[in-house]
Amino acid sequence: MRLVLSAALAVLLVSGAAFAGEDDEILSDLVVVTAAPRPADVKMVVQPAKTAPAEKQAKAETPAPVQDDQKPIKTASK
Amino acid sequence: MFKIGMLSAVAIAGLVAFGASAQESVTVLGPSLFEECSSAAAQAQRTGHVGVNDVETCNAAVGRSWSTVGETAVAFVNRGTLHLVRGENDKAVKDFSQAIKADPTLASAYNDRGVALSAQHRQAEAISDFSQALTLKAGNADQVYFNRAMAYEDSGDLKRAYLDYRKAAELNPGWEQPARQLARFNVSHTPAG
Repeated sequence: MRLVLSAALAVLLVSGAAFAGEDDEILSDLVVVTAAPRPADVKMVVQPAKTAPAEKQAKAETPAPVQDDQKPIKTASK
Repeated sequence: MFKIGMLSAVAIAGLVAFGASAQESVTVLGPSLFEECSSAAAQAQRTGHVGVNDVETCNAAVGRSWSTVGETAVAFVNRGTLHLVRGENDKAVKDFSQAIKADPTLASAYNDRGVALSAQHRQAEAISDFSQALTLKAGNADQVYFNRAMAYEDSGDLKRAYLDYRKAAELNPGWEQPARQLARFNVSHTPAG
């Protein structure tokens, strides 16, 4: 039983390490040579918050859902 | 005896009818102050225009003394959205920060503050906020990755920008913006070994 648990733990550790290192591997492997200038009309997306149902408001634990029909808005730079 | 019984029945029927009309009057009161503020922010976000009384509505929502913590946080986010649409980035940052103070788990507040900070050319802080929104499992994570990609790009980190645009495209293949941005990038991979 202990052997099985140890083996399972080892598998979990190895897969976890592999997962954690995935981003770093992609980063080190990838070379972005250039990027053309971003068009000025490309804007970030704001997510207005919806008023949550009363029982959720009390807990204040659930992030408010965001509507699917959101579109980027223009934000002025200072 | 029969008359008394009839009068009682009429009186009860009248009370029931009054009760029903009272219930209906609650229904026709319309959306709450918080819902009006929320709708105003969503509308402003869609149209890029803030209505004449929208900020006042959200001011009243933010200032309501008997509201819950969740309601207050959401009202701050929505008033911040109105400020952001108006280009009032300082006020927007303050409102989003108040929302986070009221409810540190509100992911949209971090995303939106990231947008406002980015507009102020504070890319490192913006990236930190977008990352926090993702940690909190923000709804529409594709949008948060897209925003972070833009912040990375503006800070000169093209590699991370590319990866975030790619992640946004993976999460929402039907959204054409990430794919358009990816097309601007010229990418190669280092040879294996």
